[in-house]
Amino acid sequence: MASPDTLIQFDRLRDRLIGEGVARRHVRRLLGELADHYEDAVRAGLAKGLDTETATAAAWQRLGSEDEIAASILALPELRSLPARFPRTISAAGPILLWVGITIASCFLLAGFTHALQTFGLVPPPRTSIEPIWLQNLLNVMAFAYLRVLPVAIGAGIAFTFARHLLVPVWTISGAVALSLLSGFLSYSLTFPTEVGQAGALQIGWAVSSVQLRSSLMFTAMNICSILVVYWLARRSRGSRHMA
Amino acid sequence: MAKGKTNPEFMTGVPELLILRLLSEREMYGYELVQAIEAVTGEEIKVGEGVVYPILHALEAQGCLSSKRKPVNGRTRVYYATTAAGKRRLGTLVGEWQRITGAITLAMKGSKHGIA
Repeated sequence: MASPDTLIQFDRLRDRLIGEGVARRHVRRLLGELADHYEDAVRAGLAKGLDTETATAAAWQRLGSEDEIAASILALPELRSLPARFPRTISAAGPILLWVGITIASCFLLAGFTHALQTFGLVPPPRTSIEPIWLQNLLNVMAFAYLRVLPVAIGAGIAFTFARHLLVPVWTISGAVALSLLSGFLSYSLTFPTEVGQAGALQIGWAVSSVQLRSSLMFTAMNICSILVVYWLARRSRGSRHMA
Repeated sequence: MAKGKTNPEFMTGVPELLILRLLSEREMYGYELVQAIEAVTGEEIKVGEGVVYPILHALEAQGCLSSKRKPVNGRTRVYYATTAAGKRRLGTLVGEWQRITGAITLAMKGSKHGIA
């Protein structure tokens, strides 16, 4: 029953609400309910004997203007998304906290996993060093992922969210730079036990050293670029959808 | 002929009060609720109907309302009902409303301070 004009009006309202930071789940549900309400109002008008054009106009009038509806939604902080309510925290501190949290949590998970493997006899007792070899490889891959892949993935995810909400780029850029600096200058070393009963070690450190300055700066620049490319692409795709 | 929208200056908090009051009797979906508001107020109170939904969502976010989807005549409706917290809030709002309307009524009648 919705006419092309109606769909355009709802589309415009949706873009406006998302652009102003209303949570997508609320936007989706609000627009669904508004569309249902509009449909009911048009049906009621037709049932009273109005022609389609008059019934449609009356339904819009009952629903209220786009400005009225948008203002009533934007006045309610409960309906805003987390990035819109706390842009500084989410974009600047969020990526770092998330990254550190995931790293610590997965270290515990990995420790539990290897302990379970040994408890249930799925890994033979070590003879000369930690075995099997695939576990060593897995640990190396995971340590690399924590330092080089996870920060970019988190930064890109947050940049994508901010771009979709059309939030102020300065916070996204600050968050990307902070996370990239932290991860770019991090170094890690994995020491596997060489004797039975000896503990291994995962060391993570942050330092600005002249020896590694070049590679650290390179990693930092790569991380910033990766995050900002995602942000730019997401903004661009939103922009082109607006134009369509 | 339907009356125009109620003076917005007097409407702060009124839709919330009416919504909680009506939903405390039975669950309703948005369109049904708007019809009920018009019916119980003798069409004296008219709100922009689209404005009702953000209030419903905010009340739900505050824990005053619960919602569930129900299929009705081939369409899915979102039905709202008051929760225990919503009933407590309604009690508070009714108390405040009665206090204010009592005071305004008293003032309109003219007080002992003698408004001519």
